[in-house]
Amino acid sequence: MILGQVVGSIVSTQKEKNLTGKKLLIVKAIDLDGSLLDSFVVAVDIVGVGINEKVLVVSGSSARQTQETKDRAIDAAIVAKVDSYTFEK
Amino acid sequence: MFYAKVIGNVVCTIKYKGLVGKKLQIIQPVNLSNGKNSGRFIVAVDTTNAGIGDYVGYEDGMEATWPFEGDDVPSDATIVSIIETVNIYNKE
Repeated sequence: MILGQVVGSIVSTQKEKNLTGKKLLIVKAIDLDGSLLDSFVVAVDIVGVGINEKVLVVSGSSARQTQETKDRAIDAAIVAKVDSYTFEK
Repeated sequence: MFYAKVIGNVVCTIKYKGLVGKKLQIIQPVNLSNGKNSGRFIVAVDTTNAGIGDYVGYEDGMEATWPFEGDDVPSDATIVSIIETVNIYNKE
């Protein structure tokens, strides 16, 4: 999983049928010090997070390993809202 | 399986139900041949109870969900072993 911060959302009306009702959020990767990095992904939110919150994003086929994303055109999913983290460099 | 060092952990209360009760660790992939960090850190589900500073083996991609068999655990990185020693022969 990558650590990221929600920086925006996406509105799309014409989309694959199995994506209907899914919330699409733009998540930017963050460094351990909390600074935003350049890379970002558009991920489906399955836990209900808000803007500016720190989240965990699962990518690839593992993102389809949930009831909400199984057999859908999804390769990135927000699976947790991060409360805190500790680290030693 | 890839080689990494545990450098931290993550606390989440709101998470997908398949991840409830699973320990989340921050790991830094390490190049086996020179011991240097390779690439950015990742967050991995821990099946071994590793601690900060331990060297571990982890699976990434779809293989990361295999330790959980039939359960819906959305993980793209899973720690599957704690590594005590590494022996490399014919090191150039």
